[in-house]
Amino acid sequence: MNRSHVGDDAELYVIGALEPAERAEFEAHLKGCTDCAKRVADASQVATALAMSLPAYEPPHRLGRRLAQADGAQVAPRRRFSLWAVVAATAVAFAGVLGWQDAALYQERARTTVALATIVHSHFRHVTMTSSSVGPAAKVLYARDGAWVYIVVDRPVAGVRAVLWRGATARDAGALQPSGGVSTLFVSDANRPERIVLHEPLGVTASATLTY
Amino acid sequence: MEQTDGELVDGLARDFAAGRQGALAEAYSRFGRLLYTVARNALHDEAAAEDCVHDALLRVWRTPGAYRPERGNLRAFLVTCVRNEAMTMLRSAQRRAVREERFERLEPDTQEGIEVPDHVEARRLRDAMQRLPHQERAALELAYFGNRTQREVASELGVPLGTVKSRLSAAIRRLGAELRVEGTPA
Repeated sequence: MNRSHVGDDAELYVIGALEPAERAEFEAHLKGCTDCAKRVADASQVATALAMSLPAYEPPHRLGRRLAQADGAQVAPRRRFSLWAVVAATAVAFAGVLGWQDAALYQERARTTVALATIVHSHFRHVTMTSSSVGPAAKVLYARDGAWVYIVVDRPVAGVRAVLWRGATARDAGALQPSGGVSTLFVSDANRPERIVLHEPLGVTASATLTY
Repeated sequence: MEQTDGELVDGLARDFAAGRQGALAEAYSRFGRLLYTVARNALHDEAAAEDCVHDALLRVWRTPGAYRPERGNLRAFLVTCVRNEAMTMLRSAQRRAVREERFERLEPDTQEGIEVPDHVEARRLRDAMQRLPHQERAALELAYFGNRTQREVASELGVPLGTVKSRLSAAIRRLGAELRVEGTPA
């Protein structure tokens, strides 16, 4: 329904005082009414001030993890792409408009944001990977419940893939991505791996055992 | 070139409006504590508040056109979304059952505890509310801090619905003028 005006509903809407049916009707109207959108925008500032006066609570770490995973998984399940493939595809799509350099920066920003948001909102452990004599120095940060892992290698590497082991089951989690002076791989759905092995084309380069 | 915080927030708002990957996590990292506070104070239940913020953020991020710049800054928009989501959940007949189920899977590492809000902002708001006409303040306190809808406020105060609507609207517009919040950055 597209009413000609909303009366006082804008102010009631921002504090959640409309009944569900009234709210649905108001939101439908709001989509096509710039004046009402402006009135809601003004009233929303007061709602924010009210919110900032409330006793503050620290959100549970799990909430950040859930949202970070949803952020990374929005397109992936539908197209059966990995998170990084989706990010890469997005970057390619933007490349024509923004130029390749900007697209690469966007890709790196998206990847880093997902990983860091997850880490910040988690309790995690870390373990140094045992390297072969020619291998790089590497470390694994991982969620205490094994939900995610973040692998960092101390140099840019190409073609190095991470394999996650759980019992006798191995899973190729993908290739580490070079960025700046390091290479990283964030696995948002790690499924509690017990061992992580880095493979380069000619063999094993580093490994680590994870404890929970 | 280094970006200012304002430019970063503007960029985030554009990315969020477009439903771009990374924008959801970044919005949560910036505004998550305030959003969770809104939900938790309305629902008084940790698990329900978590679901409230999760569902509200995901819905608007995934819905094309849900957020538009004319709706104001992204933080204020999300606060409104979470508040309305919380009020919906509060009125769900099944909330009690859901809450009990969710309590079963609470993780032990959750940090919680009431903290002192921003003293300056809280004082400004408290002072502005004290200057509201008594009837407007009573209606607003019931609606916002008491988590009542306009009809419930009307019933509790024993006044017509239209009167409550007018009082609430006037109170918020008056507070907006008092706080000069129109230009508050995101």
